[in-house]
Amino acid sequence: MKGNSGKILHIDLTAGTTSVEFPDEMFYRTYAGGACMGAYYLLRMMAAGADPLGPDNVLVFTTSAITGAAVSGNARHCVSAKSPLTGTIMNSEAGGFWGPELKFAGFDAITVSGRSSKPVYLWIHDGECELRDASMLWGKPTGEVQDAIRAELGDSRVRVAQIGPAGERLVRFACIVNELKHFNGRGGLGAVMGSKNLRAIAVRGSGKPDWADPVTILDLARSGAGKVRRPGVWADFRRLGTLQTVADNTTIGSLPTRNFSMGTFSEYENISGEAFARDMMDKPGTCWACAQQCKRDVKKGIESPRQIDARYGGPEYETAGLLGSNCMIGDVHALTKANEIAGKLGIDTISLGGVIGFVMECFERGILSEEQIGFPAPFGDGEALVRLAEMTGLRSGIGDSIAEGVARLAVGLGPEAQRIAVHIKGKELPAHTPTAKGMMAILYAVGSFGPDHMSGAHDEQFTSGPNEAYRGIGIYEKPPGANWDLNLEKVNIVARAQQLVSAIDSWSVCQFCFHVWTIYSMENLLALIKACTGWSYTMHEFMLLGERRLNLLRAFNAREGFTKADDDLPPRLFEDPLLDNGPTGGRTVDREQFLQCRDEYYRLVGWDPTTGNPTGAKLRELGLGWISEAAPTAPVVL
Amino acid sequence: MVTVGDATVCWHEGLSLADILRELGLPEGYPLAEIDGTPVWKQDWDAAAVPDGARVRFHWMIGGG
Repeated sequence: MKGNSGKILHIDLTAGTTSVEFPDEMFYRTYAGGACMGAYYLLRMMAAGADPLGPDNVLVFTTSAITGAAVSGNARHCVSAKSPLTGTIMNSEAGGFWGPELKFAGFDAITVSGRSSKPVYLWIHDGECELRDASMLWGKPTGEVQDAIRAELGDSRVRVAQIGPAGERLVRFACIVNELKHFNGRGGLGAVMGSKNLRAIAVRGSGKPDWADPVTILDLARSGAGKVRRPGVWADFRRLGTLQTVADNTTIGSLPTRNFSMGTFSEYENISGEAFARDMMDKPGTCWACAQQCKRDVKKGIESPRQIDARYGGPEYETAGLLGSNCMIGDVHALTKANEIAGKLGIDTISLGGVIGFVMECFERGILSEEQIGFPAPFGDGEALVRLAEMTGLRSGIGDSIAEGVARLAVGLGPEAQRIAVHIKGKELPAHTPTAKGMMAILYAVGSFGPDHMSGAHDEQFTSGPNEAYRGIGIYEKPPGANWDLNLEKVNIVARAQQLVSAIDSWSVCQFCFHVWTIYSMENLLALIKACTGWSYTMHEFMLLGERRLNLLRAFNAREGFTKADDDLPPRLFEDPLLDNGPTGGRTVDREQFLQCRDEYYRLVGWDPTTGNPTGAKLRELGLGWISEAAPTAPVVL
Repeated sequence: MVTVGDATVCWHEGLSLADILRELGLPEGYPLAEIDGTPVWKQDWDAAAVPDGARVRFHWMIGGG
């Protein structure tokens, strides 16, 4: 078999044992890797109704057949489990260096089940695996743990994927981080890992995957690297990173501000890509083998007004949107400090900013008092932001409640608080407001793991009509209406683009290099798949893979009892007109239009519009008949 | 004069957003421009008047991060 190692490592932490599975090539061709393979193993290995923080939850780390080919945007891996934040299935992608190293160490994927009786870390190297004592690491920040593991193993190039103290304390939106700056951020997978007493997975490998056509891989690598050097979107991406979206989104009224009650932020320039580059940045950073260099490395030696530890890197756009504008923080220092804390303790910055923004509004409305919080926490208070971030990661004071997520926190505060808690399926929203982007309204609502801005297309990609990549998946016309409009034409785009991105995530490649505005086309990606595996892989097969993964996710949730009733938006988006004077000032999402479009989505993807769930026929069409016919644990009624 | 970031362009009657891109040697492909804070999508650029003294910004709208 080319590309894949052909080995899946299974670890049982309760028994302290490991085993290796050797799937055949058709397994890999059916489920590829990344997000799809992750979903497959969760359905196969878990019973319905498992406690997300109990030993029956399974944590799955997946790469794909092409991971390890030294091409820009090909450094990612996926982590999957049942989310303690939402109770749904969760896929979360990360870049960095860990995924390729796992391939070099001889495995395509790892599953972790059970629970260790004491803190451990996993050490995987060149086909071998051992569980090592992590009791001396427990409680320490991520930087110290990475250093300690590398020192213990005697190798500074060991790649470490780990949780922080937040994961140890089961913060419901704790994350997993590798190289201190690359996050499997959303859905609380760090808490799942912490519940298993698993502090880290360290990997090191000297192997090289066996590629079908190394010459084509090299050609693709060179063409991509050459492209990013030319003036254009890629050069600006290197210069400003994703933080350029702060200015983009405030211009179109889509920047979440003041707990999603506004769409523009008057101080946006203070947390923009330019502000960070001027005041905080050392240089662009990157992932393994990637020439795009979109990450932000922080200058060393920043001591004032706060000491900043440069090891944890600078914020991405989502962090600026949720910990910045959503909390009305127009201070790039405070933002970078809060980002550092999130990295050190292992917390998802999107959820963290969503809950802190909610806390700030509750403070200003008198729902939460200074006594309850411990100090004043109005919007715009950078010191409060930094303190609340640290308290959340350590579950101290009100941080213990914040750590439960905005939905659970709001339940305890009463109906007024619940009305302004911005979440879907219990997960805080990302920094693209549906009030400004109609497609996000549907994409967020129907997302199987809650709202995810990286699951599909954004409306503004179509303002000049569909580009060739989208024409290649059957979208030929620009949808009618403005960016914020919801209509049936846009739902068609949502469904198809979601399928495309689902396949991209199942091959574990980076959307910034392999999606429609970026350095590689879909033809390039298919060429890379063929060069790695030798398969004659078509766009049809690629899209089927994406559809298969979406149906696996939905089937998992159906088994857990989720229905279309859970595919909804928070009341604020329907009821509270945006308060600012920007392009979306005064707007809300139209509920009737939303419901009509949501039902259209179900029809387009072949799901039962009365339940919102896949039919048995749809599952069988995708080779997933085993889900409804012979689920290993609980029967599935679909 | 029209300001674009740290650069300036001499204003003249009929100056367009496409003219500004050309004069500054900026790449094509931006889907959105902003004239004094007002968004102007690319399909509307030809009709968009750029007034003297305007502050213009171009956006890639990468949509993620």
